Amino acid sequence: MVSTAQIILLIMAIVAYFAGGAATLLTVSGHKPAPYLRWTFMVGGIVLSLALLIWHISGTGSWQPLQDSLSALLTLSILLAAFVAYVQLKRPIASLEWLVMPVVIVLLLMAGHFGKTQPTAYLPTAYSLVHRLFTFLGTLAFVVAGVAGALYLMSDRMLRARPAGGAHLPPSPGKFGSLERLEHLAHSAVIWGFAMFTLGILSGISWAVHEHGQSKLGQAWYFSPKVVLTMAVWVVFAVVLNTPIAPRLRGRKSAILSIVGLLLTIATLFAALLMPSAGGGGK
Amino acid sequence: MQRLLLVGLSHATAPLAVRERCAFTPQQRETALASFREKFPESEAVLVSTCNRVELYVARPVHGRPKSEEMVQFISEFHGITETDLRPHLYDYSKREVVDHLFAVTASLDSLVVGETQILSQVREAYEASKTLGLAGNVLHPMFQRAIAAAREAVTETRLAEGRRSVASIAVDYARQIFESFSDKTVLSIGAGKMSTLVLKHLSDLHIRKLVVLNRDITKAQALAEQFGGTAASTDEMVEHLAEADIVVTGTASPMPIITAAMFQQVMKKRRWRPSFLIDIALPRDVEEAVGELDNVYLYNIDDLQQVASATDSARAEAVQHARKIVQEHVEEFIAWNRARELGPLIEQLFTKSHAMAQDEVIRTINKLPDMSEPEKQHLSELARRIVNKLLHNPVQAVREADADGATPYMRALVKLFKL
Repeated sequence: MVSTAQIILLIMAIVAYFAGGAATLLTVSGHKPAPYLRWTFMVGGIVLSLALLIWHISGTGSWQPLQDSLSALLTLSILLAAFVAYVQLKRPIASLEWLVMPVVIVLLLMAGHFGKTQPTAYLPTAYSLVHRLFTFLGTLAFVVAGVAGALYLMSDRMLRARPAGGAHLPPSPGKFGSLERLEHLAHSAVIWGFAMFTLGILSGISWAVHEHGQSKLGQAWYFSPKVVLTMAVWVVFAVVLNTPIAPRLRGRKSAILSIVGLLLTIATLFAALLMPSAGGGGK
Repeated sequence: MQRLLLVGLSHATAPLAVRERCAFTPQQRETALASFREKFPESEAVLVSTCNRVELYVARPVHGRPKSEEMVQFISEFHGITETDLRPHLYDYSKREVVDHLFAVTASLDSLVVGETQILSQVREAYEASKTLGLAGNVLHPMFQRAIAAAREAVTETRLAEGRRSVASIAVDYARQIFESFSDKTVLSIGAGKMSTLVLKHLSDLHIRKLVVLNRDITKAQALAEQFGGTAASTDEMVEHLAEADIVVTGTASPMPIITAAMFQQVMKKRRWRPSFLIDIALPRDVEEAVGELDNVYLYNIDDLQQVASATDSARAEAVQHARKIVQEHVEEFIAWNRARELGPLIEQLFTKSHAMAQDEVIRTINKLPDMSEPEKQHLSELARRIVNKLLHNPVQAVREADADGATPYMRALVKLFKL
């Protein structure tokens, strides 16, 4: 069960991310907040989330990761925020924060909600652990691919745009990152994500039918929203993965598919959390 | 006396599609000027044609030809454009407005990118072309000389050319928004003109993998390729090189697009739809507009790049104001000088004619008075001379002191009243 103190810690993490977002907006709009303010808030958010995760896991008496909705969503949010921090530290893409940090905040809000309403642990089998680990890592990679696809589309749109005055917008390579970099980022994320997601699906199927060929999710488990959506995600990213052999899909088309994949991934996440009877992970 | 006239269009009045239809290549300009000389042998003319403007400057006798309508007709007939299509985009100036405009244009104060110095050499080139053909005479020759001197001073004495973003540097910024690394990229330059050289200079700073220069004149291609460590090839191999190139710079003088959408679709297939960045700095454009609509193709023409560059102008308002002041001083000096130049012979003619008339009358009077002594004759002659001088003093002074616009009607009146 998530305690009130843990919820307060969660709210503090959300507030830290919000404050970081506000500091970023101030910087973008030409104001100059105190140096490193946005970094302080971002790292603060990550540290608070991590502290909450450790606190929560230690309370379960097991160090296995992704045991319940709270730890799974917290882990996902921490990894995403860490990814943004890494990119901004190495070679910044200003728009990345605007796109990813709201997702991080939504994940934390979901963690708060589902952590309270669905505190029950997942089935503690070896298959389910492998399944959760790979599907969550795959999901993380697909979120990165979807965000890179969205940035690609925004950059492409800006490069082609002719606003009211008839002029192209001035180029600003640091704002979105180059198209080449975004395409590479999206494709690498899809390669890793696809491999992990596929392993997650396979282990999930094994888990679902592991006792005498009978599914724990009911006879028509393969028609459950979670499974159908998962397969849709898999198919979409399988297409994106194959752009090198179908180059006509390169660029915008591939970016649009990545965004569709991301939306389906989010829908799958919701399906898994909202409909535990349909294979959402509840007992 | 000469009348100054100007008919033209620019980025401020005409879209690129119209400008490219009205543009003159150096060869076309030569042909046009030769034809102008044939039609209007008494007039002087300079034809300025850049990617941003086409302007025909004319100095003709006050009652001579061409009239401004004939100048419009001349341009429209040369390019086969109807006057109805052309008229809405044209401006026409006369007298002092022409001087004001030329001086501002040459100093790049009327440019899309204020402070760009290319216009200065383009105006000089246009003036030289007319001079070679004997079309820059007593009026246009000094006017262009003075405009060029004023522009030079404006550029060197102010910070007009500082802090501006060149078209070439903006092209590179776009390239960096498309590509991450350039060490594996091939650049293709079609054409070997000045502007291409500028863009290649900026691109070569990105440490590109390979540069290929195509040009009809292979020696020019070789010279440019050598400058940046590239290779030269014939334009016949264009399609193969296009498929290999990630960045294409086109700046030929071709009157028709050399890269069509259908052709580039095939090129993109060969490239397996890898992104392609095209910089079309030619006028008329070398690349069909529809090419830019293809997937993974990013096409920018000279207008796109210049309009981005012009956004940096606002930051240099103070320098622009200073430059305008310098140019204005030069305009005033030129106007005064030109008036004095036109006025001098006219006044001299007026005095000579009046004195001759007075002396004729003195001689006639002396003939009627045979007893007149020599000193008396001289006194009489001197009297007539002084009367003429006194009579002419005030009108001449008024003409001399009149401002530029006021002097012309006075001068015209003198010519008419005294039959000069």
